[in-house]
Amino acid sequence: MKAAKLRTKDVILSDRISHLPDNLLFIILSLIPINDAMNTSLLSKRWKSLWKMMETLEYDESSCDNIGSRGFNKFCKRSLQLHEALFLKTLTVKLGQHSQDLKLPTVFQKLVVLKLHTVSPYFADSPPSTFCFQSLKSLYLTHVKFRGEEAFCQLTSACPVLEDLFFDGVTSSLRFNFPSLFTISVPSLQRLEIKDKTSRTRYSYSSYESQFKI
Amino acid sequence: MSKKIIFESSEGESFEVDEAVALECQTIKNMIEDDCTDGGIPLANVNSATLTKVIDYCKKHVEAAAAAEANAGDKDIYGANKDIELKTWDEEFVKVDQPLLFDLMLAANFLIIPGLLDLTCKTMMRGKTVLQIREIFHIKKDYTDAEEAEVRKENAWAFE
Repeated sequence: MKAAKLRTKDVILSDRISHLPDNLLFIILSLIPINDAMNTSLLSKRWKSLWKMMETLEYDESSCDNIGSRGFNKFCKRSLQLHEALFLKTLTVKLGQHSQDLKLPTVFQKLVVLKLHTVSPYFADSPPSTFCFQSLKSLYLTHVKFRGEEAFCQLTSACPVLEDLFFDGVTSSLRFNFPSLFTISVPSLQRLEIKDKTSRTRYSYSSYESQFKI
Repeated sequence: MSKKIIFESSEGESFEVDEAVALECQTIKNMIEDDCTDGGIPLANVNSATLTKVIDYCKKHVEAAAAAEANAGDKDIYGANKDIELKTWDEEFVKVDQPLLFDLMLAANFLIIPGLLDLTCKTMMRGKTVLQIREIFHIKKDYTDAEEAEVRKENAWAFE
């Protein structure tokens, strides 16, 4: 707050933003698209690793331009590899219209909240050898398509302390071959919310076919 | 009549506001709950110009929340319009010079006004290129050419 008092002609031309505390810069960076936040590393040494220490990251395909020809999910994967995911507490991934495959890295030690939107997640190492989401308390799955029920089990079994599970339009890619059966076997779970906005028929279908165990 | 709270700016100027308006600031809310607001609240790091704007913001948002509650029944039509109106008001509100924008952000951070902190932080960099950011904020490049090339290479790999 000291800087707020200095308002002379000289100070107006000084670099006030770089002197802000990290926590404020993290907020500023979290409010611009992730690719723009990454590009701030080009500004100066002060900014070089700042985005990599952000505790909250949102990858939203609809707000990111110029992410190259390899596609947004490739960009997510590489960008997450560059990020020091050791610091990450909240991660949101929103892909475009159709659920696309997203390979999850296995280093989210401190992640507390994970929100996946229109994603088909799977693990880089299959099956993951350790509890890679050691600290994950909340998992939000919206229009998420799993590659069979096993993929879902792999995800939940990698979350030993999960408390909140939010389902909206979760399907299995094998759903049309045989009934989907999502067995939620998470001893630490405290809250489970299931919504299905897609259509009424589908809702009754999935509620009939799905079995939930807590 | 509602209870009044008195703020004192860094210049020593007094500002009297309704308690409801002051409650928009989490920091002040805590002080009110702890009953330590008698005799005014000195804000040594918020100047009069900034405090005037902060109070405007809090007033507007208290009024908007009250109006929304009163019209809760017609929320679908009326509420949506009101939301747009408030958003437009917010956008106009942050059309200020850069020093004041910084002061507002720091005040929102200190007083804990989440909506204002979000609004001012959002305004800082949104929609600007790295070149524009460097120019607007006078950020000096302290990389050597080799160091800069290294950072560029790393980013290019992700953006490939």
